[in-house]
Amino acid sequence: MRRLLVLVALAPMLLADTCGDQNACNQPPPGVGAIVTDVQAAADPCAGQPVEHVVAWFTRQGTQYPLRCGRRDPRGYGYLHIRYDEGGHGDPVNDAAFRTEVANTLEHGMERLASGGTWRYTVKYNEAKAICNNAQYFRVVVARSPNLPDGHPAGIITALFYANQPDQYP
Amino acid sequence: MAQTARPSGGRAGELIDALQGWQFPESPIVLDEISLQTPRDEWPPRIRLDYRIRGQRGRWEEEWGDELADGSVEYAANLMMAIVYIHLMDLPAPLPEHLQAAS
Repeated sequence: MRRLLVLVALAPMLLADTCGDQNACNQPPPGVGAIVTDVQAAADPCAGQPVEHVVAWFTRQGTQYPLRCGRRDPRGYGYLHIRYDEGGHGDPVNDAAFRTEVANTLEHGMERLASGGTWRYTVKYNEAKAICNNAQYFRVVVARSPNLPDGHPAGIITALFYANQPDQYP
Repeated sequence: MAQTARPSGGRAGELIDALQGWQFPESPIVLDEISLQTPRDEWPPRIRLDYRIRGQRGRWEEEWGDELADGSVEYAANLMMAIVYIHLMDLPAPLPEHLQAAS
């Protein structure tokens, strides 16, 4: 019983240590409220901006893809969809950890055609990273073509964690 | 400052033409019919999407707006279907409101 209590008490430290050793966590474990509070309070870069406004850039194999403001549901896509819809997937502008997941998945994820000029990229986390992110998979969907007159495509349509294997995988 | 673009006449009709025959390969989502519910020269367009997921029929009817107003018609068609894709890709069946609309 005493051993169990010690384990429970040390769990957050053990978890953080495991993630740190394997460089699996890009963020503190859940419960470090200051970070979350900062993210929730962060400014919305799309306030007053048109749907095509670019708030960030992500790269795959040397090609840059924009993250545009987009809009919220029911036709949600882009930054506003990722940040706010369905309870919020994450904030790819103000949350460096989430932004890193988007960048890593786009660069290294398994590529599959979604339709037309749109592709999806999916990574499966190793055990340590799955614990850190409380998820097993991360996916980014990107409209890579055609371009707008600004010379770039619609770009990042969505990005999200999956607790379990997505229905369509990879 | 955000502004709502107002495309010239005919874009809605060109968009619905560009959407004909669109499919999501390697997916359980089957697009049966994509139809324009507003005049071809009226913007914004109201578009009805009849689809199936694992045999269950859904109907998603929506007024689309400024996200499809800029760029080529091909750009708008691809963006619209990318948006549709992300909203349907993880569903085991059509959304309840889409099921009801299709019945």
